[in-house]
Formats: sequence, structure tokens, C-alpha cells
Amino acid sequence: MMERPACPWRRPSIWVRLSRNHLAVLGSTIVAAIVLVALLAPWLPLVDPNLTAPADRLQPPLSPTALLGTDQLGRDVLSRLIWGTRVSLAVGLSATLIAAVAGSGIGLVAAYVGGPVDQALMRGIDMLMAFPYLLLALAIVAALGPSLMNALLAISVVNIPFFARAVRGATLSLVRREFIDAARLAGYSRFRILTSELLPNVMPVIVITMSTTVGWMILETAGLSFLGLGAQPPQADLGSMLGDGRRIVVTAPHVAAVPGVLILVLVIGINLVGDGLRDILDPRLKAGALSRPVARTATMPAQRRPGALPSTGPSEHGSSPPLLAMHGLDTQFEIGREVYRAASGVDLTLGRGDSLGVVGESGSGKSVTALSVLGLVPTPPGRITGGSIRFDGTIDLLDVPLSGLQDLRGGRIAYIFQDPLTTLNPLMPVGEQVAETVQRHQGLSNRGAWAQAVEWLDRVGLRAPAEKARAFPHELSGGQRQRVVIAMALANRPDVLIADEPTTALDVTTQARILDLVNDLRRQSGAALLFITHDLGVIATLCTRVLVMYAGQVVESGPVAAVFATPRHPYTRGLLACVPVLGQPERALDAIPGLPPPVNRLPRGCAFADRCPSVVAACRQAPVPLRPVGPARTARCLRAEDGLHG
Amino acid sequence: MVDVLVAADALVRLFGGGRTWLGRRVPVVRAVDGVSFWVRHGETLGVVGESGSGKSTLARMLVGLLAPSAGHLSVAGRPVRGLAGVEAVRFHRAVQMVFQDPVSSLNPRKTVRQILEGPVQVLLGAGRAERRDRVARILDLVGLRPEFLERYPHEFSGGQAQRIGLARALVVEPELLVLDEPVSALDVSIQAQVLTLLRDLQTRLGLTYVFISHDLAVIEALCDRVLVMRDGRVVETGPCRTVFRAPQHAYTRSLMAAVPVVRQAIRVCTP
Amino acid sequence: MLSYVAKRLLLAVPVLFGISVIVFLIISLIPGDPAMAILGAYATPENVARINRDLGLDQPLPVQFGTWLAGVLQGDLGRSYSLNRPVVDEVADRFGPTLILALASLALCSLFGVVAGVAAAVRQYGWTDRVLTLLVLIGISTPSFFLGIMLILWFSVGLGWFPTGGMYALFGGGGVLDLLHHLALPAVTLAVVATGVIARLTRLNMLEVLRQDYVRTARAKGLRESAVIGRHAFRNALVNVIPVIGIQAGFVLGGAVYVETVFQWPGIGRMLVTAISMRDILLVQGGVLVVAASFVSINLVTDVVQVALDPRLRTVRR
Repeated sequence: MMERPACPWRRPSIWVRLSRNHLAVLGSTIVAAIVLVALLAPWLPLVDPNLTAPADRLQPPLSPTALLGTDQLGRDVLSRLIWGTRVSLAVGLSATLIAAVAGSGIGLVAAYVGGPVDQALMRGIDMLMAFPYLLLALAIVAALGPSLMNALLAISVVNIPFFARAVRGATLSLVRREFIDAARLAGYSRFRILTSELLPNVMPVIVITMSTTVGWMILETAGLSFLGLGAQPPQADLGSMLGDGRRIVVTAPHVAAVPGVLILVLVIGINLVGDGLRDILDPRLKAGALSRPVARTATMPAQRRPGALPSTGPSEHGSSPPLLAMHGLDTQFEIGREVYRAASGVDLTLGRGDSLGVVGESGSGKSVTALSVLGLVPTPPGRITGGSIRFDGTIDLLDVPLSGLQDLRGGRIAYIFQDPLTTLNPLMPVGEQVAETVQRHQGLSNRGAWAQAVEWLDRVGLRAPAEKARAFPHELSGGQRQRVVIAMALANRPDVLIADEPTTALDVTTQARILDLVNDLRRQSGAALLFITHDLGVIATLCTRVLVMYAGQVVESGPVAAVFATPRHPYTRGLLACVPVLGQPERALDAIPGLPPPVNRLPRGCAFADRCPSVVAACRQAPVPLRPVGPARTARCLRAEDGLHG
Repeated sequence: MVDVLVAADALVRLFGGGRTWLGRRVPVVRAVDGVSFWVRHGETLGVVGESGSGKSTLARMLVGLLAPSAGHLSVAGRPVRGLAGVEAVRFHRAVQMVFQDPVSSLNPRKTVRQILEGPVQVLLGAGRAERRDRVARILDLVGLRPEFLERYPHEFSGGQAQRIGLARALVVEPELLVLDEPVSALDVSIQAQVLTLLRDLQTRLGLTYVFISHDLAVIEALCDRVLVMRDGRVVETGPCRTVFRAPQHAYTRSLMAAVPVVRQAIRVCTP
Repeated sequence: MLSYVAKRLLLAVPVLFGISVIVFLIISLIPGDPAMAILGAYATPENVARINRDLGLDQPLPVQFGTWLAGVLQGDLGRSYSLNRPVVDEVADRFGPTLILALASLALCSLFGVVAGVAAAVRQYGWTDRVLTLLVLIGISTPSFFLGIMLILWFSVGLGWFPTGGMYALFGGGGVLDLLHHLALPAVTLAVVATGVIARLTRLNMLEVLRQDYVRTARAKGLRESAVIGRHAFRNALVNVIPVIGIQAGFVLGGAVYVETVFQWPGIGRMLVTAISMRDILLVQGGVLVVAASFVSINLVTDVVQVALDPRLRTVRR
């Protein structure tokens, strides 16, 4: 999960965003130009499109009397083209509108009413979809007889299913949303819920479907005319012009080529606009969200990165360097022109056998810090711009080449992630997923790796491990899945185990068992643990040292007992005070007022100043350094010592 | 028992059953299986359980979003069954709900004003002036600034959105508020803000709460009595104090043992 | 798995029934006297009497349907009055060429579409992605009837590499090579749009899958990118692409009408166009019914392939 703070922002309007998409602008220009010319046809100095002149037939383009030449009956191609475009556009747009209204209506009603109505409507739609697209249109035209109106009708009918399906799908996901329940509790009638709650929310889907289908519909009506089943002579649309031109294509290619190219250009323009609209309106594609994270977080090269280690070599720690030493880590997300400083200047050391807890609320940068260690922060938009992460005293993980990093990943440093359902590949048996990592790092045979995988599944407490190894993730419970993930992480006996909220998605009783398991196995294997969580209670049971993060910075660190007993940073104090504790119901919950600052607008001074009860003017004037405040303790607060009395 | 606001007797809710249109049998799930309890005016009943315990189904029955398959449920002396028309309006004036996911519970295409004025208009039939007045008051009560009224839900953080959800529920001045995991999607510091607000509102408005949560500590902090649910049944019930001090049922004990607690650990860790 | 296939086959029965209802209802769409419309220029009193007897056109609609369906089940699709032969015979002759054409372009568009989509996704925002995206855009915007004409103009008339039409050479033709020679241009023409659609959706699905947590897990295990993309991402994306290929089969079968017309391919598509202009409704019915049924079968195959790839579908549907 990428942590991003909830910051109030206003979306620019659709038109503004569309105008930023160059391709969409190009598309709209093309479409607008064509539509404009078509609309102006009656006022343009054009020859009658149906005026035949056998003497002037098959004039080539650029001839003095006809700019685009003439066809086999001597009719002016340009004039026919413009008038034909009018017809094609009108038919295509009308078909789109008819299909959109009918299909969306069916989809909305089916999804909202549900039950047998839904079944009946959607089975009907399935029947229409069971026909090859064009064939049904042909059948309808066959029965009604060839004519432009019948072609329009046929094309509309065959497109209804696309709208019905898309709108039904979108509505179904909305119907389960809680705001629909809220509307029912507000006493809204079904009709009002349909029109005021559902319809505005499925509008984007309707618009997207319209913009993607209008191109086809123009193509398909042109196609029917091309086959002689749409526009009937003497009326011409682009398709029938093309159909006429086909027979003489060898002698006069322009007669077919001109309308063909125009259809192509028009549909390209429409599709460009449609793509632009879809990028903006489709929630999946919003804000460029569909960008693929690359193999490793983009990292500024050592020469340019502040805080980078000079080169690999013995560290200043002398004989026994810490296993993991992170200094001044800066990781940021660059989205548009905004820079979100997800982690800024994070220091962290982890010795052999240590267990360090990192605690913070969402947006505090705790996960980003953990993911930065092995370059797993998604890029785009993530980027590591500063600091160093020294592993085992020698190498800076930020400068290791990718293949070296991949050797460490899952080998000497392993991760456990939050949601065990999404972190496992749904199509692969879980045993194979464990065996895969064993094979990668220990170079065993398939058989040997599988045997090891089963052994580890047994060790993490899965009953009947040989059988469970062949199960797919969806066949296991949440707790079992998380055990698989733990087996996967421990299978190569890592030196460092990084667990990112490994129990958040689980029920309390399961959570307790998983925590025990992690703790036991870690002790046995002697791995160092970096445990990321928002739950102070979990830290207290599992870790010896704790790091408290706020707005991308470490605000306090030290031994768990000491930090929890005498917190030195007002945020830590506040955090401890606002957790309800079982067995102490009378304790007043002292809420911290306000919200954390958005990490793209961090203040110059202390990030906590606005919520702090003991803020002074100096807090806001300059960045507050993290400084020692006791044995093995640090805090980022000017008044850390005052807190002792407060 | 004059002051009983909610009385539930042997409530059952089944899901599934019947057959698909192809004639296949759909297995029956007993989400809520014979649950009885009552809630007095002005008190807070906590319902605690793990996922699949049926606590959310119970909440949805209490507010009339789901009909019970069997059993009897009455709120303020009136049976809750097949509500329609005027009766439904009267019921929803008295019973409202706060949902778990603060973002999904607000219509993304409506402004906060539209979200808040809707229930006032429909349930109370209030005119424009009264709507504005009520909405302004309620916004102040939940601690939101008046300029938020013209904004859309995506502009708010989780905590603020949950305050809007609370305002929407309270704007018609209900007697009973059913809260389904209202703070579990929130960060601890924000969770504490909302819990404090809930306590404060209860004292000021004399509200009755049914508070559903998986978090024992939150339940203990806020509730007078508690209902521990597992697999659709109540395994233990009683005043919070007694239940949490001396849990009788093994399941309650195992739930309590599983909670990692800050202070306990400190006691252990501190030399 | 086997039981799934059996169930899926069973589920196809109501679909086929629904198709036959719709195909039958086409007759009832005909304005005016259906017998006259069906016979058109061949409306001799003798033929009118015969068709009224064959189809029971004076009966109520459900009875007509029963008569018609009973005929269909016995392999009797009526008689083509324009060709003066049974519809079944004509359709049987024409079905092979259409199937060859459709399967060839389905193979082409699946192969190239998936490869292009994966390549574009893996090199997102690189020049491969840009070029492919542009090609895809042009591809899905191309009217296949226009493309076909242009290909004939360039490759057949201009360069003389391929024949201008037909399925086999008129003299001394025959054999697989001759068939492929004739098949190349029409198959490519028919595949272009579908390739674009498949490429686009493959890219989208790959991008979506590459953002999933399990891909991060695969990377966190230290797997090389080739394994991350090949073993973890591609298979998951493919599961969502398979149904798209199934849908494209519909577009390919439908689009065959244009391509067969342009390339003089002796398939059902060209037969249908002729039949419509002749108003030979029974021939249209027969052709549509057969092509729709083959579409249903193709979808059956893609469904089974999808279930074979995705274990979740096996258990969820029970």
C-alpha cells in the first residue's frame, strides 16, 4: 500500500484535464473540423452531390473542376464526401444515443431491482451477445429490408448489450456501497435513489461506453451501406461511396480511397477523444494510476545523492557493524508537479537479533521506509533521493546493481506483507510459491525445493502441510495464508525479516497466534526483525526498541519500555493517551486535535507544531533536529525534557 | 420496563436457501441465529465479535435495512416489520446509522450540503430555511467548519468524512444511533477524536447507541453493556464492567487474551 | 474439470435455444405478408402455398416456432427460393471457408495482440509502447472493408504478390499452399481490428496485474524480472484476456461478411449479403443460425480454457 495523506484538493474540471491531454486535443480538433464542415454543407459552395455528368466521369483529384475528382457517374466526390459525412455522422450519433439510453436503462434497472427482473433482462442481453456482433444487425436488416433507417435501428440494437452490461456492472458495485444504504435510511424512494444516487455515479461509465462505441457504430453503419444494405441510391453516406468505388478501384482508386480515408481519420479522432475521456473518467485509470511499477525504486545515483556513502568499504562501526544502518533516507512520490515527501531523513539501525518496531499512523512513512530498504517502493511515482542504507557493514543497498539486490531480496533480507490474500499469486499453489523462493536462493532441484517448502509449511503450523502445499490461496483461511507468507519469508533463513503490518487484516485471535509464531521463529532463527505497525500494543508485545514516525520523519526512538513509560515527544505522548486500553475504561481518551500536515506541504519547522499542546514560537522557525534525550533515546522536539514534568 | 427503547427477541437472519434458476440448491447461512437483547434509553450497548460473527447483519436489521427471517424486533414500542410509507419515515426519524467506511458511505457526486439536507427534507419535510438552520447547527455540533458545506466527499480525510456521516445520521435528531465499526477505518489519533465526540454527543443529546466493533478496548471505553457474538449467536452478555473483569465464556476469555495491550506489556518490560 | 465442461455444455443449450428464438422471430419482423417477402420474386402461387404449409405461417406464432424448430432439429432449414436448393446444403458448402477464414484470423489476432500488449506493458512509456499504442489506435479505427480494398490494390494489383480474391486458383489450384496464398490477405484484413482490441486489453491487464501485491511479493522473493513477468504477471493477465478473445471471435465472425465480400471468399458472409439483397429470408436465417452456433462453441472453448487457467473459478462455481 502506498501511503498518501488525505489532503483536501480540488479536481480541475473534466474539460481542463482533457485539454491537458495532447492526443485528446488532437482528436477533438479532427472531429470538430469534420463535424463543422459537415454542418456547414448547405452553405458551402458545393455542386449538387447527386448531379451526374457522364462527360466528366472519373476525373482524377485536383482536376480543375473537381478538387477531389469525380466518380463513375461524374458526380463531384468532394460534394458527395461532405454530404455523405453528414449522413454518416447523424446515423452514427443517433444509433449511439438510442443504444445508450436503452442499454443504460436496462442495466440500471436490472442491477438495482435485482432478482428475477435482473435475471430476465440479463438473460435477454446474453442472447443478443451470443450473436456475432454484425450478424444480428444483418439479420435485422434482412427482415426489415435494406434502408438507412433500418441500418440505424439494427446497429442500435446490437450495441444495447454493451451499455447494459457496463452500466449493470457499475451499478452493482454501487448498490453495495454504504451511501445507498444511507439513502434508504434517509427515506429516499427507490426512484429517487435510482436518479439522484445511482445515475450520477454511473454517468462516467455511460459516457465512456458512448465514446468507445460511437466510433464502431459509425464504422458499422458505413459497413452496412458498403454492402448495399444501408443508404440507398441516390443518397450517399461514406460507406456507400466506398462500396461504389470498390468496383472501379483499379482504374480510379480515389473514388474508394477518399471516403475510406475520411472514415479512418474520423474514427481515429473519435477514438482519441474517447481514450482521453476514459483516462479521466475511469477510476482505474485516474491520475495515471495504471502505471506499472518497475523492478526497483528509482534511486538517485550515489554521486548526486545527498548522504550517499562514498563507496563500499569498512564502515565507521569498526569490528561489529549493525546489520542494517539507514541514514538520512529520503523517499518521495512525484505526482504531477507535486512532491510528496513520504520519508524524509529517516535514520534507523538494526543489530543482529534486534527487534525494532516502527509505529505511526497512515501517511507517516513507515511502510515507505520499510519498502525502501530493498527498492520495493513503486516507481512511478516513488523515488529515493537521499541517504544510505548500509547492509552488513559493507554495501549500500541503494547503490547495489539490480541483480545483486535481487540476490538479497528473499535471501538475506525477507519481507512479510500486510494482506495475505493479495500478496499471494492466486493462480499458483502455495507450496509452489514457497518452493520458488527456495529454489531461487538455494539452487535446489524442483523436488528438493518442494520438500523444503512442505517442511516450512509444517514449521509455520499448517496442518497436513503436504496437502496444503497443493492448495491455492483462495482455498485457505486468512490465518493460514499469512502462515504461508511467513514460511515464504523464512524459508531461506534471512538475516533480516521486515514485516509490514502482517496482522492488520486478521481477526484478533488469529493475530495473536500469528504474532506468537513470528516471534518464536525469529528467536529460533536469530533473524533481526523490523516490524511495521500502527498498533502500539503489538509493538509492546513483540519489540525491544521502537521508532515513532510522523509525517515522514522519525520523531522519537528508544527502548520500548522507556519510550512508552516516559514518552519525550508530545506526539508519542498523545498517541499513547488516545489508545483505549482494555481494563481501563475510566481512562479519559485524550485525543490529539487536528490532522497531520499533508506531506506535500510540510511546514518549515516542526511538523507536529499545529497539533502540539506545548508548542512555542521556536518550533515553527527552523527544522527541529532529532537529538539524544537519554540513554539510547532520541527525540525530535525542542522541549523533550519539559515533557518529563508535564 | 418503560425505558426500554430496543427489544429484540430471538432474532434470526438467514442468507441463501432456495434454488438458483437452474435448480441448484443454495446453502443456507445463519448469519444471526436466535439473538435476544434489549437497550434502555440513553445507554450504550456494545456488540463485539470477530468477522463472520453476524454483528453487522444485526446492525442492518436494527435500522431496517434487512428484515429478520424470524423473531421479533421493536423500537420505541413499535414493531419493526415490513416498514413502508409513513411508518418507514417515522421509523427512520427515530433510528439512524453510522457506517464503517467513511468514504464509501458518502455519495461522491453530492456536496456535503446535499448529503445533509436530503434526510431533513425527506424525513422531516422541512422547508429551505429550516434545512439550512439544522444543517448549520449539526455541522457545528460534530466540529466541522461551515465552509465544508459546498465541498465534495473526496476533499475530506477519513476522520472528517466520518464526522459528516455522523452529522447525516444526527441531523434528523434520532433517538437511537446504530454505529457499525465507526472508528475501525480510522487512525488511532483520529479514532480518539471521534470516540470523544460520540461520548460528548451522547451526554448532550441523550442519545442511545448500539455500538458495533471488533475492538474490545473501544467497546469497554464507550459502552455500558456488551453483547459478545460468535457465529451468529450471543455467547455472553452483561455490563461491560462485569464481563471484561470476569469473563464467563471461554470465547470471551480467548478474545481478551489475544488483545496486545500497551500497559500490560510495559508492566512486563519495565525493570 | 470434466464436470465443469459438462455443465458448461449443458448451459449452452438454453443459449442455443434463445438464439433460435431470436433467429425465428426475424420472420415476424417482416412488414407485410411474410410469405410474399420470403419468396420475393419467386412468389408463384405454388411456392406461396408450399411455404405456408412448410412454415405454418397461418398458425399462431408459437406453433410456427414449434414447426420451425422441429425442422431445424432434423436438419431442415427450409428451402432457398433464390438458389432453388435446400438451405442446409448451401450453408454446409459455405461454412467451411468461413470457419477457415475466421479461425485463421482469430489465431493471428490472439498471437499478435497478446504479444504486442505484453511488449507495450513491459516497456510502458518507452518507444515500443508509443509505437504500439499508435498502431493499435489506427488498427481499431480501420474499417476492414476499406483495408481489404487497399491491400488488394497494393499487394495484388500493384505488387502481384497475392491473388485478388477467391479461395483457390481457378486453374491448377488446390492444396494447402494455394489455400494459404489466397487466405493471407483476407485473414490479415479480418484480424487487424481484433488484434488492436486484444493488444489494448492485454496491455491494460498487464499493467493492472503488475501493480498487484503478488507481483511485489514475487520481486521481494528476489525473482528475476523475466520470472516475475512470465510466471506471475503474464498468467494472471492472460486469465482476463481469454474472455476478450472469445468476444473478438464474434467480431471476427461478423466482420467476415465484409472481408468475404471484398475478397470474393466463398463463405457464409458473402452468401448472406447476396441472400439479403435477394430477400431470401430462409437462407439468411440458416446462415445466421449456423454462425451464431459456432460463436457459442468458440466461447465454450474460451470459457473452458479460462477455467483451466484459473483455479478460483473452479471452486467458486462449485
